[in-house]
Amino acid sequence: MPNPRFLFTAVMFTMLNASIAFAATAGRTFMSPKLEAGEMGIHSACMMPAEGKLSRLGMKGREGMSKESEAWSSALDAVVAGHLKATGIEIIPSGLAQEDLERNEELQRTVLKLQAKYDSVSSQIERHPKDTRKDRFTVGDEVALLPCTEKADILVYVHGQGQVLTGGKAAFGILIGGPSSSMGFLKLSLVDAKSGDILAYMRLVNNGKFADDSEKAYGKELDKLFKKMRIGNAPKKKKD
Amino acid sequence: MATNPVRLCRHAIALSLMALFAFSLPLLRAQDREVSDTSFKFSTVDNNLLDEVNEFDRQLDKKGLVFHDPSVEQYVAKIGNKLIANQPRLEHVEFRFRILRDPMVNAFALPNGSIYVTTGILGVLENESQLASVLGHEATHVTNRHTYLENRSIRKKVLAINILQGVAGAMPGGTVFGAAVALGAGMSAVIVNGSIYGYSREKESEADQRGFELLRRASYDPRAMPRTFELLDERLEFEPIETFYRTHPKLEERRQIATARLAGLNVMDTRTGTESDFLEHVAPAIRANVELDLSSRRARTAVSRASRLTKWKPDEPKYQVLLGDAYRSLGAKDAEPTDDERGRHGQAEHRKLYFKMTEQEEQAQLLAKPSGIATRNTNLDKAEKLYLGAIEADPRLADAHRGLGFLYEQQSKPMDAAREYRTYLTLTSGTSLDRLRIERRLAGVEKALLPRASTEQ
Repeated sequence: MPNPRFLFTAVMFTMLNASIAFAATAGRTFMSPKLEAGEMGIHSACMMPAEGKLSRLGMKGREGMSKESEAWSSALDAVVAGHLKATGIEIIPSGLAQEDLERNEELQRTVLKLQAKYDSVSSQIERHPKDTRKDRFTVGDEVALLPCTEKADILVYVHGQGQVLTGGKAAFGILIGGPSSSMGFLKLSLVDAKSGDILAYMRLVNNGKFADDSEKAYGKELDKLFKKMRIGNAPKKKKD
Repeated sequence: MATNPVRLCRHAIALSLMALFAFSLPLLRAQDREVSDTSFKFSTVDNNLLDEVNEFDRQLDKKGLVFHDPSVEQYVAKIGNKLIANQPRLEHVEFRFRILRDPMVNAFALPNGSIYVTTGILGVLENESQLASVLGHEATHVTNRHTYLENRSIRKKVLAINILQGVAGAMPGGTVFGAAVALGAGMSAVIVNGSIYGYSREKESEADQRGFELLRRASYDPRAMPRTFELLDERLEFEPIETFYRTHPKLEERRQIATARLAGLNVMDTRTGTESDFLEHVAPAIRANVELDLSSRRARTAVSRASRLTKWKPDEPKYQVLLGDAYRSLGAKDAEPTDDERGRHGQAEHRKLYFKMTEQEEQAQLLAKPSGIATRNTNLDKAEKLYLGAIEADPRLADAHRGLGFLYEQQSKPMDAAREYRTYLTLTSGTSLDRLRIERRLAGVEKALLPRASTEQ
């Protein structure tokens, strides 16, 4: 007769691994006090070019997915812009599309500079996201170097990072242990277009087909988080 | 004796996984058995990698990360082509020598023949032969097909590790054998990661050796190689990512080997190139790098590189402004790390500080001490002198007025700051991307001046 303890452990372990394979999205927002208090009216945004990086993890190791990453970057850009619009935020034409930047070297250099500025604070934001509530992070007033910030209330940084598992690797993970589903992170930073202060930092994670359908993966959660932030047309917080 | 089916099944699984483990051992050992030769046969895996790197090349260009300046590009290409002259033509290789906008001190080669040197490494090197030694090393990675070989090796290792993890996962828990394998698999993963971020030690040594030969064959001074390793070991500030080029024990070991190779060599009639000639060609890249350093919290490096440019051309106002910007960004920090900071403990502390504090918080902490205030005042004084010197040489140099405006604002001198901002706006007349920022700053300082003016009235 099978050992009931062994069977129970084996079944629970397989179920735990298999349960991770069900697609789901989770998200968190960290807001600065200014935004939390509803002091700022945010009605327009300028989008920095989205940066999405995908890699494929298979039984034979990790491989880059350059072409897919490029497509994912555009998809993330469209999803975030679409949901900002849906909350009543006007998206100011940024002139930062790839074709525009290839034509304008000065603007391209400026975008690199602002990415470098953001990178230099992102190591702290990633480690201490809660400190966004303490107004700790800023990329500085150099954000004004982008012409679109003249009319925008916020500048939006969009970063995606995803690991796509091959079928073999996922099955291996379910049976033996280890990662058993793909995982895609979407990180957004809403930056004050005048001062460069980080007003909000959002982190969303999906373990489904985020690379194929970013809208399905992140759309609903984005709506929920934007609503919580009371930006655009969302009703403002009632003052006591 | 009654047979328990579960126990039988467990034994069968354990035995089959042990067989898999035994099969995987030769894969682990196979990593460096392959030798690079001219009859390299492309497999599907290699072709896939080639597609990937071609795409990577395209992406770097598309994102504006490739530095384009004809004089710098031609200079680097000229040195590179001199090194690879008379090399047999290789399948799927087209040598291209490119410059990457990246403050990290690094160089790398892609298997399709694209060799990248960063603007950061150009800021460190002193002359043409040192650049040649870096390019020769990288060109060897291409000619000896190191990326393909490393990729094949990594794939085998990862497959073996997956199998090892499988064995460990299925083993009954608590046994010594299972625990040891699990531990071994975990450690192998670290080794694998090491390989991913750099080539194996053997391949790097091979590249050094062959690079040294290329250097000699192209009549460059081979003494440049050990000196290059010394220069690459410079540590002005904490770097969040350590590449192969900056790994200290390896660098020291490589320097010693390169020095040993020099023994008995005739270095007469070799080309070194002067620092002045080198800077004449690469100064635009160094200048671009200083700007990137300033955006990446690397003010010490910015000061060091901009100082090189001003020493080379002391009367050039644009370099004076650059150095002024660097000193201003340095704020309460010393331009050179102290001995404590250079030490192991100091570097670990610096690492902690880098991740714990923002640039502004770090400055505030330094300014809490009198020594910090004194350093800041010294740095700002140096910056002011440099800006004023630049304005004296070229009164229409808008960037100098902008820098001076920022400086006066930092020193809480709103009237002076406003005057400089206005001059900047007059001089740039609608052409600069920075106008909006300066207009906003001007509005800010004018607002600060208002209560003062009304009190005076």
